[in-house]
Amino acid sequence: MPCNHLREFYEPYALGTLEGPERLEIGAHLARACAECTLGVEQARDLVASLAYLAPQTAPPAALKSKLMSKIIAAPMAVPQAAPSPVAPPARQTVVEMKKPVQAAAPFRWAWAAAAAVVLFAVLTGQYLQLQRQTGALREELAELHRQQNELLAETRTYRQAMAIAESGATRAITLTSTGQTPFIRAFWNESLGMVVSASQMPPPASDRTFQLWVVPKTGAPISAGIFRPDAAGRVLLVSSPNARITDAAALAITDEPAAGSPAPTTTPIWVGPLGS
Amino acid sequence: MERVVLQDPQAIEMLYDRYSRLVYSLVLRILREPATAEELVQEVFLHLWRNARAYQPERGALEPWLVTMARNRALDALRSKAAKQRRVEQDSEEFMLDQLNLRIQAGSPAASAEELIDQNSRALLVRQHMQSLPAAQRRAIEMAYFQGMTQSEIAEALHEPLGTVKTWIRAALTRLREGLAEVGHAM
Ligand SMILES: [Zn+2]
Repeated sequence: MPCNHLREFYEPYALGTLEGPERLEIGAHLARACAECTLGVEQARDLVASLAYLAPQTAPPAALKSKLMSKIIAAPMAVPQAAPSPVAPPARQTVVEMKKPVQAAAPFRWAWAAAAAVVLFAVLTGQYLQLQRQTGALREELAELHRQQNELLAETRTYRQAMAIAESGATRAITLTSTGQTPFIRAFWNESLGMVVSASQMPPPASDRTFQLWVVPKTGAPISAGIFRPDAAGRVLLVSSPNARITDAAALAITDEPAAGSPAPTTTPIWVGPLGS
Repeated sequence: MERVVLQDPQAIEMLYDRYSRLVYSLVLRILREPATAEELVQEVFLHLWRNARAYQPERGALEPWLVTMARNRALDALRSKAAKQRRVEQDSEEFMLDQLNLRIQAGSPAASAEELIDQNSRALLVRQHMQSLPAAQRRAIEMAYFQGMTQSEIAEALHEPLGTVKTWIRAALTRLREGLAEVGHAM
C-alpha cells in the first residue's frame, strides 16, 4: 500500500485502536524505515501523547522523588571525559549528555591513577598563585550570583502564582490575537487568584514606551491590568489582579503607552482577546 | 553549538520536576493503583537516566516520548494483570531515544516557567476540546487511550457499529490536532 493511503491511519495507529490490514501495512512501512510513515507516525504519537492531559492531574508523593534520586545516585553514570575542554565557560543552553558507563580495563587503572596524580600535583603547584589571584574575582562573582538568586526567588514567586492560576479549574483561558505579524498571547484569568499573561517572541515597544493590558468591560471604560515589557528574549510573564469581574468583561486588550502607563488607553489596541459568552 | 556535558543527577531531577506530575497522573489513571503507579514512574525515569544518550534537545520532544513510554508500560501492566493479549504496538524506545530532542535551558527560569505555562495551557486546551465532543465520542477516546482498547473492542463495549467508532476516533483526533495547531501548539 502506498504511503499516502496510510496517512489517515497514522493517528489511530498511534492511539492503538487501528486493526486489520492498515495496521499491518503501517507496521511493515515502519519496519523497513519508510521515512514518510515514520515521520507521520511520530507526529501522530506526539498528538496522541497530549491525551495524557485528560488524566486528572495528581502530583506524585514527595517521597517518590527522593527514592528515585537515591537509586540514580547509587548507579551514577560515571564516565571519564574523553576530551575535557580547558576553557569551557558554562553555556547558557545546556545540552545534557548521559552516557552508559564505560568499563576501564582494571589492570591499567592503577597506572592511570598514579600518572594522573603526578600531573595533578604539578598543575596544582603551578596554579596555586593564580588561584589566589582568582579568589578576588570569585568573590565578586559570588556577590553577583547572590543578586541573581534573589532575582530568581522573586521570579519563582511569580511563577508559583502563575501556575496556581493556570492550574485552577475556575480559570478562563483567553487568546489575544493581533492583525499584524505579531504572535498571539495567552491569558489565564481566575477571579479569585488573578490573571496571568504569557507570551514569547514578542517584539519590544519603543524604549520610552510600554505595553499596557486592559480589561474591556461590556459597559464603561477599560480598566488597567498592568504594564509590562517583554524581556530580551521576547518573553512575557505578567501576573496581575485586575479590579474587574470576568462576567462583566467583554475582552482583554493590549495597547502601546508611554513608559509609565496611562489611566485610559491612548492608542488602538494591538492585541485583542474576546472573552466570549 | 556549545555543549556542556552534564552528567550529574541534577539533569534527571530537573526533568523529574518538570514531567513527573504528568507521567504519574497518566499512569495512575490507567492502573488506578498508587503503589504500582509509583513503581512505574520510577522505572520510566530510571530508563531515561540509563538510556538517554547525548540528546541535543529541542523543546517539547521529550514530553511525548516520556508519556508514550509511560502509557505503553502502564497498559502492559494492565494487560498482564488481566492476562490479556497485548495489542498496542510496542514503541521502539531506542529508536525514539535517538530522536530525542529536548532543549534544557538551564539557568533560564523564564524558559521553564514558560514551559510550565505551556504545559498548563495545553492541558486546558486538550480538556476543552475533548469536553466539546459528544459524551460517547469522548468515552471512546478514553477507552482507547487509558484502557488500550482497539476499535472493535470499543464498538462492542459501546454497542455501536465499528464504522461509527472508527469515524468518532478519527474526528476526535482531528479536532484535537486542529485545536492545538490553531493556537500554535502544533505538534
Ligand atoms: Zn510508508
